[in-house]
Amino acid sequence: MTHERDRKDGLLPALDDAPGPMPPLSAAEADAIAWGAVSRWAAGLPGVEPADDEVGPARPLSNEQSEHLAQRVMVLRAARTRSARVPPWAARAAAALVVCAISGVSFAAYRLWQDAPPVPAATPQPTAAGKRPAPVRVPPPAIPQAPIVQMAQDRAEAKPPAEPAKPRVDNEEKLAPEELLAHANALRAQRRWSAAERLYREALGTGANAEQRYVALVASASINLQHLGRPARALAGYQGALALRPRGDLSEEALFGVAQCQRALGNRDAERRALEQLIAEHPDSSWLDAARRRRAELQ
Amino acid sequence: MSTDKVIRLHPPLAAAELSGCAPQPSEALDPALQAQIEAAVAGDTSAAHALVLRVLPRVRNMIRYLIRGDDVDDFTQEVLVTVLERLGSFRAEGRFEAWVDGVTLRVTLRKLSKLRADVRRFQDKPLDAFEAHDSQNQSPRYVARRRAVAALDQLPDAQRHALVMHHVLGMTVTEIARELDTPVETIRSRLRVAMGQVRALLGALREEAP
Repeated sequence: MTHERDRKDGLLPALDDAPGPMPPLSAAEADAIAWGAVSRWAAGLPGVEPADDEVGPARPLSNEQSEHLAQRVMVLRAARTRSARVPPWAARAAAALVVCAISGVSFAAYRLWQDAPPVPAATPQPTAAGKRPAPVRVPPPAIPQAPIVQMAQDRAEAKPPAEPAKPRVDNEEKLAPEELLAHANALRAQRRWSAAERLYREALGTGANAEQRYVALVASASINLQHLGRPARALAGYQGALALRPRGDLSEEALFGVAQCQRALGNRDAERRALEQLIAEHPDSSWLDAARRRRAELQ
Repeated sequence: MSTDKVIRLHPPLAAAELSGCAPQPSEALDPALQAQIEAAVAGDTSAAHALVLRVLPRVRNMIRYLIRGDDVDDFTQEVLVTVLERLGSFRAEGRFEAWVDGVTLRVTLRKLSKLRADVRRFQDKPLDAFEAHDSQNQSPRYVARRRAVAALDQLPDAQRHALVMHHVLGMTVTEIARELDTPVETIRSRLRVAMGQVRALLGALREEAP
Protein backbone atom coordinates (compact mmCIF):
# COMPACT_ATOMS: atom_id res chain seq x y z
CA MET A 1 0.00 0.00 0.00
CA THR A 2 1.22 3.47 -0.84
CA HIS A 3 0.92 4.84 2.66
CA GLU A 4 2.78 1.89 4.13
CA ARG A 5 5.56 2.47 1.63
CA ASP A 6 5.68 6.17 2.53
CA ARG A 7 5.97 5.32 6.16
CA LYS A 8 8.79 2.92 5.46
CA ASP A 9 10.46 5.56 3.29
CA GLY A 10 10.54 7.81 6.32
CA LEU A 11 9.21 10.76 4.38
CA LEU A 12 7.48 12.02 7.50
CA PRO A 13 9.49 11.21 10.60
CA ALA A 14 7.62 9.71 13.52
CA LEU A 15 6.83 11.73 16.58
CA ASP A 16 9.02 11.43 19.65
CA ASP A 17 10.70 13.58 22.25
CA ALA A 18 13.85 14.28 20.23
CA PRO A 19 14.44 17.78 18.84
CA GLY A 20 12.79 18.47 15.53
CA PRO A 21 10.89 19.91 13.92
CA MET A 22 10.89 22.31 16.84
CA PRO A 23 14.29 23.35 18.18
CA PRO A 24 15.20 22.17 21.65
CA LEU A 25 14.39 24.34 24.63
CA SER A 26 16.86 25.25 27.30
CA ALA A 27 16.08 23.89 30.75
CA ALA A 28 15.07 27.38 31.91
CA GLU A 29 12.76 27.89 28.94
CA ALA A 30 11.11 24.49 29.39
CA ASP A 31 10.72 25.16 33.09
CA ALA A 32 9.09 28.53 32.48
CA ILE A 33 6.63 27.11 29.95
CA ALA A 34 5.80 24.20 32.24
CA TRP A 35 5.19 26.45 35.24
CA GLY A 36 3.11 28.76 33.07
CA ALA A 37 0.80 25.88 32.16
CA VAL A 38 0.70 24.53 35.70
CA SER A 39 -0.20 27.89 37.18
CA ARG A 40 -3.00 28.39 34.65
CA TRP A 41 -4.28 24.92 35.43
CA ALA A 42 -3.95 25.43 39.17
CA ALA A 43 -5.90 28.68 38.93
CA GLY A 44 -8.90 26.64 37.86
CA LEU A 45 -8.69 24.22 40.74
CA PRO A 46 -11.23 24.45 43.57
CA GLY A 47 -10.27 26.73 46.39
CA VAL A 48 -9.05 29.54 44.17
CA GLU A 49 -10.90 32.79 44.66
CA PRO A 50 -12.88 34.09 41.69
CA ALA A 51 -11.50 37.03 39.78
CA ASP A 52 -12.43 40.45 41.05
CA ASP A 53 -11.05 43.98 40.97
CA GLU A 54 -8.74 43.48 43.93
CA VAL A 55 -5.00 43.11 43.62
CA GLY A 56 -3.77 39.71 42.42
CA PRO A 57 -3.05 37.35 40.89
CA ALA A 58 -1.83 39.89 38.29
CA ARG A 59 0.76 42.33 39.51
CA PRO A 60 -0.70 45.57 40.77
CA LEU A 61 -0.40 48.73 38.70
CA SER A 62 0.19 52.16 40.15
CA ASN A 63 -2.31 54.91 39.36
CA GLU A 64 0.15 56.51 36.96
CA GLN A 65 0.69 53.22 35.17
CA SER A 66 -3.02 52.56 34.90
CA GLU A 67 -3.60 56.04 33.54
CA HIS A 68 -0.72 55.71 31.11
CA LEU A 69 -1.91 52.37 29.81
CA ALA A 70 -5.47 53.63 29.48
CA GLN A 71 -4.29 56.68 27.54
CA ARG A 72 -2.17 54.47 25.33
CA VAL A 73 -5.14 52.22 24.60
CA MET A 74 -7.29 55.24 23.74
CA VAL A 75 -4.64 56.66 21.40
CA LEU A 76 -4.14 53.34 19.64
CA ARG A 77 -7.85 52.72 19.42
CA ALA A 78 -8.41 56.14 17.93
CA ALA A 79 -5.66 55.52 15.38
CA ARG A 80 -7.15 52.17 14.50
CA THR A 81 -10.66 53.53 14.17
CA ARG A 82 -9.45 56.40 12.01
CA SER A 83 -7.54 54.09 9.72
CA ALA A 84 -10.46 51.68 9.42
CA ARG A 85 -13.08 54.34 8.63
CA VAL A 86 -13.88 55.27 5.01
CA PRO A 87 -12.79 58.89 4.56
CA PRO A 88 -15.77 61.27 4.46
CA TRP A 89 -14.61 62.90 1.18
CA ALA A 90 -14.57 59.51 -0.51
CA ALA A 91 -18.06 58.68 0.73
CA ARG A 92 -19.39 62.06 -0.46
CA ALA A 93 -17.72 61.72 -3.86
CA ALA A 94 -19.08 58.19 -4.32
CA ALA A 95 -22.61 59.30 -3.41
CA ALA A 96 -22.42 62.27 -5.79
CA LEU A 97 -21.14 60.00 -8.53
CA VAL A 98 -24.04 57.59 -8.13
CA VAL A 99 -26.68 60.37 -8.02
CA CYS A 100 -25.20 62.10 -11.04
CA ALA A 101 -24.91 58.92 -13.04
CA ILE A 102 -28.59 58.22 -12.45
CA SER A 103 -29.44 61.81 -13.45
CA GLY A 104 -27.31 61.52 -16.59
CA VAL A 105 -28.94 58.31 -17.71
CA SER A 106 -32.40 59.77 -17.05
CA PHE A 107 -31.48 62.93 -18.98
CA ALA A 108 -30.22 60.91 -21.92
CA ALA A 109 -33.33 58.76 -21.95
CA TYR A 110 -35.50 61.88 -21.90
CA ARG A 111 -33.58 63.44 -24.83
CA LEU A 112 -33.82 60.22 -26.76
CA TRP A 113 -37.53 60.10 -26.24
CA GLN A 114 -37.87 63.77 -27.38
CA ASP A 115 -35.73 63.33 -30.52
CA ALA A 116 -37.35 60.10 -31.64
CA PRO A 117 -39.71 60.33 -34.71
CA PRO A 118 -43.35 59.85 -33.98
CA VAL A 119 -44.41 56.29 -34.04
CA PRO A 120 -46.75 55.58 -36.99
CA ALA A 121 -50.15 54.68 -35.89
CA ALA A 122 -50.76 52.10 -38.57
CA THR A 123 -48.85 48.84 -38.74
CA PRO A 124 -46.97 48.21 -42.01
CA GLN A 125 -49.04 46.53 -44.65
CA PRO A 126 -47.86 43.30 -46.10
CA THR A 127 -46.21 43.65 -49.51
CA ALA A 128 -47.49 42.12 -52.61
CA ALA A 129 -45.36 39.12 -51.99
CA GLY A 130 -47.11 38.75 -48.71
CA LYS A 131 -44.03 39.47 -46.66
CA ARG A 132 -43.47 42.15 -44.14
CA PRO A 133 -40.68 44.61 -44.98
CA ALA A 134 -37.48 44.12 -43.14
CA PRO A 135 -37.42 46.25 -40.01
CA VAL A 136 -35.21 49.30 -40.23
CA ARG A 137 -32.55 49.25 -37.62
CA VAL A 138 -32.18 52.62 -36.01
CA PRO A 139 -28.71 53.07 -34.62
CA PRO A 140 -28.89 53.89 -30.94
CA PRO A 141 -28.05 57.52 -30.35
CA ALA A 142 -24.92 58.24 -28.37
CA ILE A 143 -25.79 59.00 -24.82
CA PRO A 144 -24.64 62.55 -24.16
CA GLN A 145 -22.10 63.05 -21.46
CA ALA A 146 -23.73 64.37 -18.38
CA PRO A 147 -21.64 67.40 -17.48
CA ILE A 148 -22.66 67.23 -13.90
CA VAL A 149 -21.06 63.79 -13.61
CA GLN A 150 -17.86 65.08 -15.11
CA MET A 151 -17.88 67.95 -12.69
CA ALA A 152 -18.28 65.62 -9.80
CA GLN A 153 -15.40 63.48 -11.05
CA ASP A 154 -13.25 66.54 -11.55
CA ARG A 155 -14.07 67.70 -8.08
CA ALA A 156 -13.15 64.35 -6.65
CA GLU A 157 -9.86 64.28 -8.55
CA ALA A 158 -8.97 67.87 -7.88
CA LYS A 159 -9.66 67.79 -4.21
CA PRO A 160 -6.72 66.39 -2.27
CA PRO A 161 -7.68 63.73 0.21
CA ALA A 162 -8.25 65.18 3.61
CA GLU A 163 -7.30 61.94 5.32
CA PRO A 164 -5.13 59.01 4.26
CA ALA A 165 -6.87 56.17 2.50
CA LYS A 166 -7.65 53.04 4.43
CA PRO A 167 -4.50 50.94 4.50
CA ARG A 168 -4.58 47.56 2.87
CA VAL A 169 -3.96 44.66 5.16
CA ASP A 170 -2.35 42.14 2.89
CA ASN A 171 0.82 40.32 3.74
CA GLU A 172 3.03 42.38 1.49
CA GLU A 173 2.33 45.84 2.80
CA LYS A 174 4.17 47.20 5.79
CA LEU A 175 1.86 48.40 8.48
CA ALA A 176 2.41 51.63 10.33
CA PRO A 177 3.85 51.34 13.86
CA GLU A 178 0.59 52.35 15.52
CA GLU A 179 -1.28 49.71 13.52
CA LEU A 180 1.26 47.08 14.44
CA LEU A 181 0.94 48.05 18.08
CA ALA A 182 -2.84 47.90 17.86
CA HIS A 183 -2.67 44.45 16.28
CA ALA A 184 -0.16 43.35 18.90
CA ASN A 185 -2.47 44.54 21.66
CA ALA A 186 -5.34 42.61 20.10
CA LEU A 187 -3.25 39.47 19.90
CA ARG A 188 -2.14 39.97 23.47
CA ALA A 189 -5.75 40.24 24.57
CA GLN A 190 -6.34 36.90 22.85
CA ARG A 191 -3.41 35.47 24.84
CA ARG A 192 -1.50 34.81 21.62
CA TRP A 193 1.75 35.73 23.24
CA SER A 194 4.22 34.70 20.55
CA ALA A 195 2.42 36.48 17.76
CA ALA A 196 1.89 39.57 19.92
CA GLU A 197 5.53 39.66 20.95
CA ARG A 198 6.61 39.34 17.37
CA LEU A 199 4.48 42.28 16.31
CA TYR A 200 5.81 44.43 19.13
CA ARG A 201 9.28 43.66 17.81
CA GLU A 202 8.21 44.42 14.26
CA ALA A 203 6.90 47.77 15.44
CA LEU A 204 10.39 48.60 16.68
CA GLY A 205 11.79 48.31 13.18
CA THR A 206 9.18 50.30 11.28
CA GLY A 207 10.15 53.87 12.01
CA ALA A 208 8.33 53.99 15.30
CA ASN A 209 8.85 57.14 17.32
CA ALA A 210 10.50 57.08 20.73
CA GLU A 211 7.24 56.76 22.62
CA GLN A 212 6.08 53.85 20.49
CA ARG A 213 9.46 52.12 20.77
CA TYR A 214 9.39 52.57 24.52
CA VAL A 215 5.95 51.01 24.87
CA ALA A 216 6.79 48.20 22.44
CA LEU A 217 10.03 47.35 24.26
CA VAL A 218 8.33 47.04 27.63
CA ALA A 219 5.37 45.12 26.26
CA SER A 220 7.58 42.71 24.35
CA ALA A 221 9.85 42.18 27.34
CA SER A 222 6.88 41.58 29.60
CA ILE A 223 5.52 38.87 27.31
CA ASN A 224 8.92 37.27 26.94
CA LEU A 225 9.38 37.12 30.68
CA GLN A 226 5.94 36.19 31.87
CA HIS A 227 4.62 33.97 29.10
CA LEU A 228 7.33 32.77 26.78
CA GLY A 229 10.04 31.81 29.24
CA ARG A 230 12.71 33.97 27.59
CA PRO A 231 14.31 35.92 30.43
CA ALA A 232 17.44 36.80 28.47
CA ARG A 233 15.46 38.35 25.65
CA ALA A 234 13.16 40.06 28.12
CA LEU A 235 16.14 41.53 29.95
CA ALA A 236 17.42 43.08 26.73
CA GLY A 237 13.99 44.64 26.15
CA TYR A 238 13.68 46.10 29.64
CA GLN A 239 17.22 47.44 29.52
CA GLY A 240 16.56 48.97 26.11
CA ALA A 241 13.46 50.70 27.46
CA LEU A 242 15.37 52.03 30.46
CA ALA A 243 18.15 53.30 28.22
CA LEU A 244 15.58 55.04 26.04
CA ARG A 245 13.70 56.64 28.93
CA PRO A 246 15.37 56.21 32.31
CA ARG A 247 12.55 58.10 34.03
CA GLY A 248 9.69 57.13 31.73
CA ASP A 249 6.18 56.23 32.75
CA LEU A 250 7.00 52.54 32.61
CA SER A 251 10.41 52.66 34.28
CA GLU A 252 9.02 51.08 37.44
CA GLU A 253 7.77 48.11 35.51
CA ALA A 254 11.01 47.94 33.54
CA LEU A 255 13.15 47.99 36.68
CA PHE A 256 11.09 45.33 38.38
CA GLY A 257 11.22 43.35 35.15
CA VAL A 258 15.00 43.60 35.09
CA ALA A 259 15.12 42.25 38.62
CA GLN A 260 12.84 39.35 37.70
CA CYS A 261 14.88 38.54 34.61
CA GLN A 262 18.10 38.55 36.59
CA ARG A 263 16.48 36.27 39.12
CA ALA A 264 15.39 33.87 36.38
CA LEU A 265 18.91 33.93 34.99
CA GLY A 266 20.45 33.28 38.39
CA ASN A 267 22.29 36.64 38.64
CA ARG A 268 21.70 37.47 42.28
CA ASP A 269 23.94 40.54 42.41
CA ALA A 270 22.39 42.10 39.35
CA GLU A 271 18.94 41.31 40.71
CA ARG A 272 19.75 43.01 44.00
CA ARG A 273 21.09 46.09 42.22
CA ALA A 274 17.92 46.37 40.14
CA LEU A 275 15.76 46.05 43.25
CA GLU A 276 17.78 48.70 45.06
CA GLN A 277 17.44 51.05 42.14
CA LEU A 278 13.70 50.48 42.09
CA ILE A 279 13.42 51.14 45.83
CA ALA A 280 15.55 54.27 45.61
CA GLU A 281 13.97 55.80 42.54
CA HIS A 282 10.35 54.82 43.12
CA PRO A 283 9.62 55.01 46.83
CA ASP A 284 5.88 55.01 46.16
CA SER A 285 5.99 52.04 43.82
CA SER A 286 3.33 49.41 44.10
CA TRP A 287 6.14 46.86 43.92
CA LEU A 288 7.99 48.41 46.84
CA ASP A 289 7.01 45.78 49.41
CA ALA A 290 7.79 42.92 47.09
CA ALA A 291 11.11 44.50 46.15
CA ARG A 292 12.08 45.01 49.81
CA ARG A 293 11.16 41.46 50.71
CA ARG A 294 13.17 40.02 47.87
CA ARG A 295 16.14 42.26 48.66
CA ALA A 296 16.06 41.03 52.24
CA GLU A 297 16.11 37.45 51.00
CA LEU A 298 19.10 38.20 48.84
CA GLN A 299 21.13 39.75 51.67
CA MET B 1 -11.09 21.97 3.59
CA SER B 2 -10.07 25.18 5.19
CA THR B 3 -9.46 25.19 8.89
CA ASP B 4 -11.82 28.13 9.04
CA LYS B 5 -14.52 25.55 8.84
CA VAL B 6 -15.58 24.54 12.29
CA ILE B 7 -14.35 21.07 12.95
CA ARG B 8 -16.97 19.08 14.71
CA LEU B 9 -15.47 16.59 17.08
CA HIS B 10 -17.40 13.57 18.05
CA PRO B 11 -18.66 13.55 21.60
CA PRO B 12 -17.69 12.57 24.14
CA LEU B 13 -14.41 14.35 23.73
CA ALA B 14 -12.92 13.58 27.08
CA ALA B 15 -12.96 10.13 28.63
CA ALA B 16 -12.26 7.00 26.67
CA GLU B 17 -12.03 8.59 23.23
CA LEU B 18 -8.96 10.49 24.27
CA SER B 19 -7.15 7.31 25.11
CA GLY B 20 -5.18 7.63 21.90
CA CYS B 21 -5.72 8.38 18.24
CA ALA B 22 -4.40 5.14 16.90
CA PRO B 23 -4.77 1.68 18.31
CA GLN B 24 -1.88 1.26 20.65
CA PRO B 25 -0.52 -1.98 21.98
CA SER B 26 -1.54 -2.35 25.55
CA GLU B 27 1.43 -2.15 27.80
CA ALA B 28 1.73 -1.71 31.50
CA LEU B 29 1.98 1.89 32.56
CA ASP B 30 5.21 2.81 34.27
CA PRO B 31 4.37 2.82 38.00
CA ALA B 32 6.30 6.05 38.53
CA LEU B 33 4.35 7.73 35.74
CA GLN B 34 1.09 6.40 37.13
CA ALA B 35 1.96 7.78 40.55
CA GLN B 36 2.76 11.15 38.99
CA ILE B 37 -0.56 11.20 37.15
CA GLU B 38 -2.50 10.29 40.26
CA ALA B 39 -0.72 12.96 42.27
CA ALA B 40 -1.37 15.57 39.60
CA VAL B 41 -5.05 14.61 39.43
CA ALA B 42 -5.17 15.12 43.19
CA GLY B 43 -3.83 18.67 42.69
CA ASP B 44 -0.11 18.23 43.30
CA THR B 45 1.51 21.03 41.28
CA SER B 46 5.00 19.51 41.46
CA ALA B 47 3.73 16.29 39.90
CA ALA B 48 1.85 18.30 37.30
CA HIS B 49 5.01 20.23 36.53
CA ALA B 50 7.01 17.02 36.11
CA LEU B 51 4.36 15.59 33.79
CA VAL B 52 4.29 18.72 31.69
CA LEU B 53 8.05 18.72 31.36
CA ARG B 54 7.89 15.10 30.26
CA VAL B 55 5.49 15.71 27.38
CA LEU B 56 6.58 19.23 26.44
CA PRO B 57 9.00 18.38 23.58
CA ARG B 58 6.56 15.94 22.05
CA VAL B 59 3.67 18.38 22.22
CA ARG B 60 5.70 21.17 20.62
CA ASN B 61 6.87 18.89 17.82
CA MET B 62 3.36 17.66 17.18
CA ILE B 63 1.94 21.19 17.04
CA ARG B 64 4.68 22.27 14.67
CA TYR B 65 3.75 19.42 12.36
CA LEU B 66 0.19 20.73 12.35
CA ILE B 67 0.70 24.49 12.05
CA ARG B 68 3.07 26.96 10.48
CA GLY B 69 4.10 30.25 11.97
CA ASP B 70 5.22 31.28 15.37
CA ASP B 71 2.16 30.40 17.42
CA VAL B 72 3.57 27.06 18.49
CA ASP B 73 4.34 28.11 22.04
CA ASP B 74 0.90 29.65 22.51
CA PHE B 75 -0.76 26.48 21.25
CA THR B 76 1.55 24.50 23.50
CA GLN B 77 0.31 26.38 26.55
CA GLU B 78 -3.30 25.65 25.64
CA VAL B 79 -2.58 21.98 25.06
CA LEU B 80 -0.67 21.58 28.30
CA VAL B 81 -3.41 23.20 30.34
CA THR B 82 -5.97 20.94 28.65
CA VAL B 83 -3.82 17.88 29.32
CA LEU B 84 -3.75 18.75 33.00
CA GLU B 85 -7.47 19.51 33.10
CA ARG B 86 -8.38 16.18 31.49
CA LEU B 87 -5.79 14.08 33.21
CA GLY B 88 -8.49 12.42 35.27
CA SER B 89 -9.99 10.93 32.11
CA PHE B 90 -6.79 9.13 31.11
CA ARG B 91 -7.15 5.37 31.32
CA ALA B 92 -4.04 3.35 31.90
CA GLU B 93 -4.88 0.84 29.13
CA GLY B 94 -3.24 3.01 26.47
CA ARG B 95 0.06 4.78 26.25
CA PHE B 96 0.18 8.12 28.00
CA GLU B 97 2.01 9.73 25.07
CA ALA B 98 -0.67 8.56 22.64
CA TRP B 99 -3.34 10.06 24.86
CA VAL B 100 -1.41 13.34 24.92
CA ASP B 101 -1.14 13.20 21.12
CA GLY B 102 -4.91 12.92 20.90
CA VAL B 103 -5.44 15.92 23.17
CA THR B 104 -2.83 17.88 21.24
CA LEU B 105 -4.50 17.15 17.93
CA ARG B 106 -7.98 18.10 19.06
CA VAL B 107 -6.99 21.23 20.93
CA THR B 108 -4.83 22.41 18.03
CA LEU B 109 -7.51 21.86 15.40
CA ARG B 110 -10.14 23.50 17.54
CA LYS B 111 -7.96 26.50 18.27
CA LEU B 112 -7.04 26.85 14.60
CA SER B 113 -10.69 26.88 13.62
CA LYS B 114 -11.33 29.74 16.02
CA LEU B 115 -8.59 31.99 14.73
CA ARG B 116 -9.85 34.78 12.56
CA ALA B 117 -8.42 34.97 9.08
CA ASP B 118 -7.16 38.51 9.53
CA VAL B 119 -5.14 37.45 12.53
CA ARG B 120 -3.93 34.20 11.02
CA ARG B 121 -2.08 36.07 8.32
CA PHE B 122 0.68 36.68 10.83
CA GLN B 123 1.24 32.96 11.02
CA ASP B 124 2.50 32.73 7.50
CA LYS B 125 5.87 34.21 8.24
CA PRO B 126 8.90 32.07 8.93
CA LEU B 127 9.64 31.05 12.44
CA ASP B 128 12.67 33.05 13.47
CA ALA B 129 13.41 31.05 16.60
CA PHE B 130 13.30 27.89 14.55
CA GLU B 131 15.73 29.25 11.99
CA ALA B 132 18.02 30.59 14.67
CA HIS B 133 18.50 27.17 16.18
CA ASP B 134 19.25 25.43 12.92
CA SER B 135 22.91 26.19 12.99
CA GLN B 136 23.17 24.81 16.51
CA ASN B 137 21.56 21.49 15.84
CA GLN B 138 22.46 19.77 12.65
CA SER B 139 21.89 16.15 13.54
CA PRO B 140 20.60 14.16 10.54
CA ARG B 141 17.35 13.43 12.33
CA TYR B 142 16.78 17.08 13.08
CA VAL B 143 17.57 18.07 9.51
CA ALA B 144 15.16 15.42 8.21
CA ARG B 145 12.38 16.74 10.39
CA ARG B 146 13.12 20.29 9.44
CA ARG B 147 12.83 19.32 5.78
CA ALA B 148 9.62 17.44 6.42
CA VAL B 149 8.00 20.37 8.13
CA ALA B 150 9.24 22.76 5.45
CA ALA B 151 7.42 20.58 2.92
CA LEU B 152 4.32 20.44 5.11
CA ASP B 153 4.31 24.21 5.28
CA GLN B 154 3.65 24.28 1.54
CA LEU B 155 0.46 22.24 1.79
CA PRO B 156 -3.08 23.48 2.34
CA ASP B 157 -4.17 22.96 5.94
CA ALA B 158 -6.66 20.22 5.14
CA GLN B 159 -4.08 18.10 3.33
CA ARG B 160 -1.48 18.81 5.93
CA HIS B 161 -3.68 17.71 8.79
CA ALA B 162 -4.74 14.53 7.04
CA LEU B 163 -1.12 13.71 6.29
CA VAL B 164 0.07 14.30 9.85
CA MET B 165 -2.80 12.33 11.32
CA HIS B 166 -2.12 9.39 9.05
CA HIS B 167 1.65 9.29 8.75
CA VAL B 168 2.79 10.78 12.04
CA LEU B 169 0.03 9.69 14.39
CA GLY B 170 -0.75 6.46 12.57
CA MET B 171 -4.50 7.03 12.37
CA THR B 172 -6.44 5.06 9.77
CA VAL B 173 -8.32 6.79 6.99
CA THR B 174 -11.59 5.90 8.66
CA GLU B 175 -10.48 7.39 11.96
CA ILE B 176 -9.37 10.61 10.25
CA ALA B 177 -12.65 10.84 8.36
CA ARG B 178 -14.56 10.44 11.58
CA GLU B 179 -12.36 12.89 13.44
CA LEU B 180 -12.71 15.60 10.81
CA ASP B 181 -16.32 14.76 9.93
CA THR B 182 -15.29 14.36 6.30
CA PRO B 183 -16.04 11.57 3.79
CA VAL B 184 -13.53 8.74 3.67
CA GLU B 185 -12.93 9.21 -0.04
CA THR B 186 -12.12 12.86 0.51
CA ILE B 187 -9.51 11.90 3.07
CA ARG B 188 -8.02 9.33 0.71
CA SER B 189 -7.84 11.92 -2.01
CA ARG B 190 -6.20 14.46 0.27
CA LEU B 191 -3.64 11.91 1.37
CA ARG B 192 -2.86 10.91 -2.20
CA VAL B 193 -2.44 14.48 -3.43
CA ALA B 194 -0.55 15.62 -0.36
CA MET B 195 1.87 12.73 -0.40
CA GLY B 196 2.68 13.37 -4.03
CA GLN B 197 3.42 17.00 -3.25
CA VAL B 198 5.51 16.15 -0.21
CA ARG B 199 7.59 13.67 -2.20
CA ALA B 200 8.26 16.28 -4.85
CA LEU B 201 9.01 18.99 -2.31
CA LEU B 202 11.32 16.79 -0.28
CA GLY B 203 13.14 15.80 -3.41
CA ALA B 204 13.63 19.44 -4.29
CA LEU B 205 14.77 20.29 -0.77
CA ARG B 206 17.31 17.46 -0.81
CA GLU B 207 18.70 18.73 -4.09
CA GLU B 208 18.98 22.25 -2.68
CA ALA B 209 20.83 21.04 0.41
CA PRO B 210 24.61 21.53 0.32
